[in-house]
Formats: sequence, C-alpha cells, structure tokens
Amino acid sequence: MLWLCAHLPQMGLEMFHRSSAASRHQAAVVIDERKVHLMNSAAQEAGIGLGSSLATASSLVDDLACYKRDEQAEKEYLEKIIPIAYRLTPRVSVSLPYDLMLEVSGSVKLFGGLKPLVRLLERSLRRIGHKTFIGTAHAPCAARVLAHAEVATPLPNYPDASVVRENALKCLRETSLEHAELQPSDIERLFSMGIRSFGELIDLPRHELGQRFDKSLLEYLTRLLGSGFDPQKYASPVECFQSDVHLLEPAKDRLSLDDHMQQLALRLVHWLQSRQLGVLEATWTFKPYDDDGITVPVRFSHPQTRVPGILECSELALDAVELPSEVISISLEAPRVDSLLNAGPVEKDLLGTHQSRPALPGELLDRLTARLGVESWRLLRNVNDHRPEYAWSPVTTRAFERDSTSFPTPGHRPLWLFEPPMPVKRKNFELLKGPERIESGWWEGRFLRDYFVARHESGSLCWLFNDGEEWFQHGYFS
Amino acid sequence: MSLQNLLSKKFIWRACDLTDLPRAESASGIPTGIADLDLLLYGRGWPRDALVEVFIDVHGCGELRLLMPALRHLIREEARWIAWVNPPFVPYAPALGSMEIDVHRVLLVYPNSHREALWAMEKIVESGSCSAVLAWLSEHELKAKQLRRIQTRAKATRVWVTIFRPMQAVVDPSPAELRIRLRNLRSDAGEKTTLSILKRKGGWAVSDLPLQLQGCPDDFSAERMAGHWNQWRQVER
Repeated sequence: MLWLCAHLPQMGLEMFHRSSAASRHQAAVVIDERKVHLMNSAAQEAGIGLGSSLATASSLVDDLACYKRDEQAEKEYLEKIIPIAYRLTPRVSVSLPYDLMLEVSGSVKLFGGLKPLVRLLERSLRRIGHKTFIGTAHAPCAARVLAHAEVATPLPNYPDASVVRENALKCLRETSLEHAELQPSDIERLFSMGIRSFGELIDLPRHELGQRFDKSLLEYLTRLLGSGFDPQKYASPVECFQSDVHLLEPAKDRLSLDDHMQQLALRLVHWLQSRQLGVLEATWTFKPYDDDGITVPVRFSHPQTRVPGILECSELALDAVELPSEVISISLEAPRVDSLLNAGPVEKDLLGTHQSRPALPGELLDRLTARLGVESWRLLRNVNDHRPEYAWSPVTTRAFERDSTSFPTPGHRPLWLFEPPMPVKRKNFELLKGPERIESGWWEGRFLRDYFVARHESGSLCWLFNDGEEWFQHGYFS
Repeated sequence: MSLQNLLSKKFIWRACDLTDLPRAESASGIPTGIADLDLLLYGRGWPRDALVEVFIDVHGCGELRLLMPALRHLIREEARWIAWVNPPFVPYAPALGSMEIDVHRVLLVYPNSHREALWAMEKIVESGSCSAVLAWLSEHELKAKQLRRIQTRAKATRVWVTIFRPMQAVVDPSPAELRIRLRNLRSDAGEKTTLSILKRKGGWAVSDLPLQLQGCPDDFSAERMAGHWNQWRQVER
C-alpha cells in the first residue's frame, strides 16, 4: 500500500480568500469561536498569533479581512475538490478537516513514477490556489502525520511496499508527537513522561503502555505501523456536475469574474476527465443578491474537454448578454455531456492523409454559437423528396453527421430557392422552358405544380410554378 | 537610386507589362472555368487570398454560376469549407449537387446584424477552416474601412472572400483587389450575360466580356433530363 496525504493547511482560509496579487498584502484570518483559527502570511507579519482573540487581531491590523469558520462549508468544499485527486487514483477519501487521502500503489506506473504523480497532485492543487504539503507512507494515518509535520519521505521513483514502510517509519521516528492523532491529554502525559517523538513511543513495551493508557492508543500505534486494519471510506465521483462559487464581495465587472469562472471550468474539466466525458452544453448562472440572476448556456458542437475552449466560448456568450451589476454567486452546470467516443470524425487519420468526409469546423461553429446564438448557422443536407421545398434541409451538427448520401436531382434546379414561394403576376415573365410537372405528397394534402423556367422583365432567370390557380416564383437561376 | 535599379525592383510594375502579365507559371489563382476570363486575371484565376466584389443589378443574372467552377475546384482540392454569410435566399442543395458542389461542405451563417456579420466573417476568415467566403452585407451600413479590414484579413490568412453588392455601389471607392460587374444585355439575338472587370491587379478595366455560363437552363437538353430522371428512379427503387 502506498498512501499519499495531501494536507491543505490553509484551506479554511483559501476557500474564502484567494491569494491574488492584489489581496496578498491584506491580512486575513479565519475565526473559530472568537479565536484566530487560520491566518495568512500578511497577518503573521502583523504580529497576529494563532489562538489570539478577534479583538487583539483587529487592533493590530486596520483592514483585517475576517472570515467565520464554517465546518459544513469546509467539508463541502473538500468534497468538491475530490475530482482533482480522482484523476490520479480511484481510491480517494476525505479526512476532515483539511486532508485528502489517496492510495496510489496502482497508478504509480501509469503516471511514470511516484515523483511525477506527486508533482502533478501538488500542481493541480496549487492551480486552484492551495498551499499543499504531501506526505507519503505505508498507512493512511502515518501519511497524515508526515504531511502535518511537513516531512517528505525519501523514496525511489518506483518504490515497493517494504521500502515505503521502512523509509516512512524512519521519518516517523524523528517526528514530534504533537502531530499524533491522540487525545490532547494523552499527548500531554507522554510529553511529561519525557516521550517527545514517535520513535520513543514505538520503542516502549506495548503491554506496559496498555496498562497506563487506554486501548485507543495501542490501536493507533498498530494502525500507524501498518499492521492494523484501517478502513477508509472511498469517495465516488458525482453523477452530474454542478458547482458554484459564492463571492464574499460582489463582483462588479467582468474582469473580477474571470478568476472564478476559471476555477469552475477547471472543476468541470476534472470531473469530465474522471468520467471520460466531454461537455456539449454548459450553463453558467450569475446571481445578484436579490433575484435569480441570469443563466447563460454555452453549447459545443463536439464534446469539449479543455479549459481554454470552454472559457473562450463562455466569454463570447457573455458578450451577448447583460450581466447583473453585482454578482454574488456563480454556478456552473453541465446538463449535456457526451462520451469522447462520439467526438465525430477527426480531420486527419493517423497517417496524416485526409479522410473523405471533412471534419466539422468545430471551434468556429462553437464561437458562432456562443456569440450569435444557436440559430446563427446551419449546414446543408439533401433529402430524398420529390417536392422541391422538401428536397433539402438545414441541419445542425448531430443530424449532419448521421447523413452523408446525396441524391440525383431529376430536373434543372435553381441555385436560389425562395422560402416560401412568392406570389407573382404572370404578365411580367416570359416562359422559356417547361412545364415540368411535380405531383407528390398526397399524404400531406394536394401538391400538383407545373414548373417553368422564365425570364423576368429585368433579365433575371426565374423558376416559376403554377399550382392550377395562381403563379408563384420559387427561385432564381442565379 | 538610378532608374535602372528602381526598375529591377519586384514591386514596380510597368504598364507595358500588362499584356503578358498573367503568365502560366505564375498561375496561383483558382481557375474560373472560363478560359477567356482566366487570361484576364492576375494569377489566371480568382485570387486565393483577396477580397473580390461582384456587382449585380438583379438576382438571377448568373452571379452564383460564375463562381461555381471555382468553388468546385476548391472543394476538390482542399478539405476546407465554403461559408455563405447572410445569403438573401436559400442556397438550394439539389442544385448545388447537380453542379457537383458537395453540400456537406457548405456552411450557412445567419448573423442578426451588420456588426455581427462582420464579426462572423472575421472569425470565419481567421479560423482557417474555410477556403472561401461568400457574403451579402448590408449596403447602407458598409464602410470602406470595413472592406479594407476584410481585405487585409483575407490576405493574411489566404481566404478568398467574395461579396455581392448592388450596382449603385460601383461608384464607391473600395480596397477590393478585383471588382467585377455582371449584366444581362438584351439585344435582338436574345439575352446575353456580360462581365466587366472594373478593377484588377496588374491591368486596366475590361468591359462587356460575353459569358457562356455553365448550368444555364437553356443548355439543358431533353436527353439529359431523361437521363437524370432514370437515375432518380433507380435510387428510389
């Protein structure tokens, strides 16, 4: 077993207070029961200490950003970032308050070794704004201790189980007992006995230890050494994607939304990757304080899997709508997703030669849809119907891909078709050719027309028909 | 700089070169399908990377048929698309099919306003997924500045852009590389379509070149009609 523990020491603060360039110098703290629970480096420099009271903190810094700890929100947030870890291994569990546990022995080879895997995890967490420390060990609680103590276990790139256990225990022996997950009273008793590191605790005879402390300490020790049973509750990825960001200060312009939109798009992409899907339609909702806000759908012609692709079309779609003047909450949903297998024809085959069917200009179509709307473009398709107005149909992507046949046309047809036919006066036209009788569609009412090629007074060649009573122009031979 | 030096520069062309300008080896254009017209155009065909204006006084004077051989050539040659921006009527798929244009390569774009039309054209040209753009723009909102922008984009990304304009716009100055006027002339011998080149690269204007466009309803013989009919019946079965 190879366990990673991603410890996010500042998550309780970072989930509220993103360390952007502007906010880095502002002191921020999280308050739990009127005591400082977490703080950023600016607050530390100002002299605020962990556990000091809110009054002390606010007297030290004028513009202190102060957030109240909400354990429920922390739990929900941690669950939201699970997909990041889920890309690396299916065995992910959450350890409250600030840890993600990953069992990665099965995926080391896939990611080219332990080091690239750890780097990838670290980088993805940093990308969404979290300071991370990763502990590696043979057992979950040992990994947790090492992560909290910020000790990196020296390991080869492809370690086997015995090496992991040996090296992790070696590191653990040096680690102070303050990181042990024991009752605070027990830790204090051990300290007063002069036992300060894990090594000293492990070396004590078990039987005597059991007589002086209760059973939980012994159980903890067996779990720590990897010999006890330590079941984890693995998280499974959610079926539907829905994610939101609640801003603490209302966003008043597009620029301040960008950062949050990127966070959400990143979460969506992680979720898509974990399910091997691409998104076909994503829906943004921007809410102000007092009403339901507006919903902006973004559609893609092919399953989209990349953050820049999603964001570009979203930006174009936002150009076309008016956002509420103050946005307090942004949410992103993915109502339509599709398997990547249905991504449609690729432009080139593996040898680089062109296929007979051209690829759809997917990116172009997505941009047009995002900026001008779904109705803004159509593709053409032949339909095998004898009636002129039914012999073609404007289609969107999906229908287009199903169909590829073309049918020979029976007569001469104009390049411009009127939709619908326009009533005209016979006397303005000189009939050149015809008639071509088209009679069909008895199942949808009467359809009996005599078509003529005719020249209008102005010189243009037209396609006329007579339905027995009146004359209509149906197109131009352009 | 001496005159001789100056004359050796490539960017200087002399009016005396006009007659033999479109040499076969420099044929970079898209063949128009009309031999007489090819000879008159720089690159012996429609430019692959420029804005072309086609002036017509009525629809149905052969303005689409004029372009069909070149579009067919492009579709066969490249795997790219042909975009139709804001077409005034429906480009009829069976007719395109009978002119051997693959309708699966036709993209119709319907912008809601002139600004959107220009935006869409720019995106289409920049995307690199279309080899030609046919556009019908709102004439009273169209400005020379916008045309220049289209022309420079077309040049940079190598897309053939054709816009169709009414005859009144002939008098407006334009940055288009090629300006063409199509007219139906009526005489005792009957109707004939003529083409005038109002502006071209490397040459003077040419007026009233008689055109015999392919796919004219008049050249449809009864035999060919019967052939088509039989083919259609076979597919039906």
